[in-house]
Amino acid sequence: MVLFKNRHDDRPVFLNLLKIRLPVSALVSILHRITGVANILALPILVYLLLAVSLGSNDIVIFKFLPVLIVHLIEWLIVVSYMYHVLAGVRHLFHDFSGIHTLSATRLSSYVVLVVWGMWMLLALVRVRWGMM
Amino acid sequence: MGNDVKETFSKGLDAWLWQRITSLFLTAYILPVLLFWMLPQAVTMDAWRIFLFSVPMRVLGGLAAISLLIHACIGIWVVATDYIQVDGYQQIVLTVFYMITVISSMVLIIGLWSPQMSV
Repeated sequence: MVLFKNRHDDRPVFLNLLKIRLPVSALVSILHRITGVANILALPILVYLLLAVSLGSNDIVIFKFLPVLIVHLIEWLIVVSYMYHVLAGVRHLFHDFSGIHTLSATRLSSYVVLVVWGMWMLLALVRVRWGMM
Repeated sequence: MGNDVKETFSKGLDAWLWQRITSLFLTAYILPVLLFWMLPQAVTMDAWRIFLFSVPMRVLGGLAAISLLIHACIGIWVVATDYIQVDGYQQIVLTVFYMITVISSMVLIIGLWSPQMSV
């Protein structure tokens, strides 16, 4: 596929995504990148919502054309994506400015990010589907 | 050559630092919004308007909008130049994401701070 073909074509390539096993810190890192891109893509929706709120309209027109389940899924994905990016970002700041770069510390902080994020995902799911918290 | 290296390095260092400074302002806005979203009363448009257009949140929102411009442009540059190795495609992707970011930041500031929009 030409889009991802490297300039250095003679190098060996191993890209079986199902067989590559990432260390937990690499998983946290790649998720930080993916959520970063997703957060930019979500910006038009969020800005639209802010304008709708400021104009005091009680109907979010674009959502009327979509099934409730899809709207809830998008809402959940956005909230989960933004929270992940913040959590992983705080982890970055912690390691950058504390000067702690040991393997054990970075692995521990990776697990902390994933566990906190996991709890947020569950809470957000309850919030989205059953409107309570 | 020495100058090139120094220049490239200091640019990278600048980007690194800007990314971290802006992240503080973005967190200061996004975290309260996410936590407010969790509250039971955050289901009506009125509740959201009172919250988002309170003076502290408008100030934080303005700072976040400016930070977003810097943070997202640096971030997408880092990611796109890592993964997209063909110049033409890289330019297209970067342009699209820059446009989304710039327009969103601008509309965000106008939405939060233009007199007609405020409550």
